[in-house]
Amino acid sequence: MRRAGLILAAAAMAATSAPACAASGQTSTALGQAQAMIIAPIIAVSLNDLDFGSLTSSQTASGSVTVGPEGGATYTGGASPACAGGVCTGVAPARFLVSGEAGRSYTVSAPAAITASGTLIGGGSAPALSIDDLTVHLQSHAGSVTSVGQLDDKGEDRIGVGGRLNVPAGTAPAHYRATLTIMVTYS
Amino acid sequence: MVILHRVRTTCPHRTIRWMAAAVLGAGLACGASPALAAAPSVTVSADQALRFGSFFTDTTGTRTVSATGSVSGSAIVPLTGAAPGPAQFTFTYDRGNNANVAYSLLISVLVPGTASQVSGGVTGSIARFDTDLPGVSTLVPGQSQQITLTGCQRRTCSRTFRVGGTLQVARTSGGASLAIPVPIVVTVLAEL
Repeated sequence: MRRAGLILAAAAMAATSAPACAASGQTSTALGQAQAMIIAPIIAVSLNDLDFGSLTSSQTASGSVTVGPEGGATYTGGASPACAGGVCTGVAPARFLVSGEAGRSYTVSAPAAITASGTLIGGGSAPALSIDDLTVHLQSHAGSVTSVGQLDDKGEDRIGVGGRLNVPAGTAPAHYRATLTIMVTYS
Repeated sequence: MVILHRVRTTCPHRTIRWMAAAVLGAGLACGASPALAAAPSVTVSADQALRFGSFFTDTTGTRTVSATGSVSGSAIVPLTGAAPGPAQFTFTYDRGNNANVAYSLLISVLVPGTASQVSGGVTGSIARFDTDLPGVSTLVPGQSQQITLTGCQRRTCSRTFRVGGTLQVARTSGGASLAIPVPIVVTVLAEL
């Protein structure tokens, strides 16, 4: 009995003495990390305006001039260029420089049509002219017309916007101006 | 000492057996026998980073990724990219012996210092973290929190826990790829 009692005493010591031997103060450090990608804002800056140049209109026939998003102009109906040799050097699509995070895709939105208000050469307001068929071309999608582009390694892309100016018959000589607003957002 | 005193009164054969019992008992209790036990140790590993993902902010904004993985933000525009998610750490305690005795651990968890980074025109800082550790919803840098881990039974006791946080971003120009160090210090205060 004494021997059994002593064995039990030893076992009891083993079972109950753990707290006294606990490893307090043992420390370990892990170096974690928090990651985030803060994207630079995307902006579009106007490089030049959509310019239909100087043109003449017929007293009897309506016409139009169309400027392509990559340049070039075509005249129809009673509208014709009013430039020497029929070539108007000022005619150009609107161009925008887009800047943002390199390699990131973006979406451009533009109106389908806008209205140009006019000021008569002799003073006073002229009837408004419509500009429609606005077409957007992104350099990052050469040869195609799409609303989604991708910024290059420098974080840049270029946008061209063309359109068609409709000239009613008998339009009086005037200066016309319209505001074309585009919006670019990361996609 | 009591045991040794008693064995002196017994025969040599008995003495050997009693001493064996005593040594075994001590080994189970304190890890004093090199053949059976080692010094307790604790390790923490960083398994996964706290990922806030990609987003845009004009000047200032915040994004929160919780320990459970929920994501919210203020004055930011989330963008496509790596998916946000909480950090993951694994804590492992080796008690140093194979005693089959249930135990708990009282530990403290600390994120020392401040968690911030300046990169170009972007400043990111994490003022507080949250965890899924039992009883610790918030971890403020520089302030330790005590947790009792229960249910330990074997020689090693391991817990994997997740850490979320709120990233505050101030931007004056450009963008940045932030990689903010987040050290986690775990100290075993007691084995209960």
